[in-house]
Amino acid sequence: MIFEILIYPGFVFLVLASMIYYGILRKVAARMQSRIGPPIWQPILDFIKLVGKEDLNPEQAKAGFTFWPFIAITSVLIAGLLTPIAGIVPLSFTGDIVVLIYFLAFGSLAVYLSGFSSSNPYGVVGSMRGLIQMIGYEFPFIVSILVPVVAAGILSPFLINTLQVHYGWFGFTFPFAAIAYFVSILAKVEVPPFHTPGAHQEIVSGYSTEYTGTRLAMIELAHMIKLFVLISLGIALFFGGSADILMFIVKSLVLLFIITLARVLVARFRIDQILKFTWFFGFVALIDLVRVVLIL
Amino acid sequence: MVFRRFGERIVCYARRKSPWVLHLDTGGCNGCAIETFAVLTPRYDIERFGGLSKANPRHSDVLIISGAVTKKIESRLGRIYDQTPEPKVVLAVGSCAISKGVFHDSYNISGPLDRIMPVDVYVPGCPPKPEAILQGLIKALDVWREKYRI
Ligand code: SF4
Repeated sequence: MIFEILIYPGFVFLVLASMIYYGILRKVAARMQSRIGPPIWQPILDFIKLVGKEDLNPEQAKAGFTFWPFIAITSVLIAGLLTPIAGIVPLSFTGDIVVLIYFLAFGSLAVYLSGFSSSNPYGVVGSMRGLIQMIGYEFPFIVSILVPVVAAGILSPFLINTLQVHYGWFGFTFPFAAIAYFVSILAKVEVPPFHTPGAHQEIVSGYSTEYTGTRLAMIELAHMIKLFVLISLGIALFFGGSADILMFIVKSLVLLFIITLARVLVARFRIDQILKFTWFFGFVALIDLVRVVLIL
Repeated sequence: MVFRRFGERIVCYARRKSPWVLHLDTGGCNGCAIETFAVLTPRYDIERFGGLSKANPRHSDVLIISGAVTKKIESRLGRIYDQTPEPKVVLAVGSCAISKGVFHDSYNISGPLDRIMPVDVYVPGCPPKPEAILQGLIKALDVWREKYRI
C-alpha cells in the first residue's frame, strides 16, 4: 500500500513517467518537423534547472502567488493516485471517479488562479482564456466519462478497467464518447489547437508569465502529469484497459503519438471556436449517453 | 556536505543542458536579428542542445542581444536584465552590440552593450553567421560553468 502510493505507480513513477512521456512528445514532434530535437529526458533536466534558479516575487503579486502552483501539483498528483495505471490503483474507494474529476478540474483551476494572483496583465488574460476554455471542455469530458460509468454501473475506474480487460473495449461500443474524451484531453492539457491560455505570439506566456524558478517548475510539472493521468484514465475507461505494464506502455504511446500529431499539424483556435468545437463534441458524446440510457 | 556538492553538480549539469533563450533586438539594421531567428528555425534547431526560445525574460537563462543600443531602449534593457532570474548569461551578437559598429557616430546610440550590462560572450560579425551565433551559445554554456563553479 505504502509502496504503491509512494513508488509504483505512485508519486515517483508518476513524476518520472510523465516527464519521460512529455520528452517523447517533444522528440517525436521535433522529428516530425525534421529537426533533431531534445533527448527524451530533457523535461527532467529542465525541471532540475528550474528548481535551481532564483525565485522572483513581483511587488504587486497577491498572496496566492506563492502557493497556487503547489496546490496545482498536489491535486494532479492525487488525481494520479486515483487513476488505474497498468492495472494497479494506489488509492481506491467507492465513487472515486467523481473525486478524480474534481481533482483534475481543480488542478487546472489552481494553475489559472496562480495566473490571476500574479497581477500581470498577460497572466490575467491567459487565466481568463483558460477559464473560458474550461467552460468548453468540462462538458464533453464529464459526459464522455459518464458513458462507461453508466454502462458498467460502477463508479470506479479500476473496476471499469478490469471489466474492459475481460469483456472488450468500450471505445468500440461507444466510439462517439471515446472521440469526445480524446478531444477533451487535447483541450485539458492545452496542446494545439487549444493552446490559447499560453499563446506565445499573443500573450507572453499566459498564466505563467510572472513565474520563475521552483514555482514555474511546479506549473510545468503539473501540466505534464495532467497529460499522463488523462492518457491513463482514457486507457482505463475507453481503450481496452490495461492488465500489465507492457499493454499500458503500448496503448499510451499510441495515444501520445496521436496527441503529438495534433500538436504538430493544427493551428490555434479562437476562443469562440473552441467553445463551439468542444460543445459540439459534448453533444456527440451525449448521443452515446442517450443510447446507453435507452438500452439499459 | 558530500550530498550538497553532488546536488550542486547535478543542477550545474542540468543548467548547461537546458538553456532557454530570450532574443532581444535593441536597434541596428535588423540583420543580426534575422540571423538569430535563423538559429531558432528547424535548420539550426537549438532544441537539440535542450534550448527553447522563450519570449519572456523571466523564463530565460540566456539573453541574446543584437543590434546597437539606442537611447530609448537603454532603461528597458536594464529592466529586462533585472527580470531575468540568476544565474544568467548575456550574449552580445554583432558589431553593433559590441562596439556600436556602423552607427558609432549616431545621435541616438547610447554606447556599446557592455557599458550597460555585464556581457559574457561576444559574437563578432556584421552580421555573424547563424553557425557563429550557435557556437557563441555553446560557449556561453561553458562560461556559465566557469562563472558558477562549485
Ligand atoms: S552588426 Fe551589422 S548586421 Fe548586425 S545590426 Fe549592426 S549593422 Fe546590422
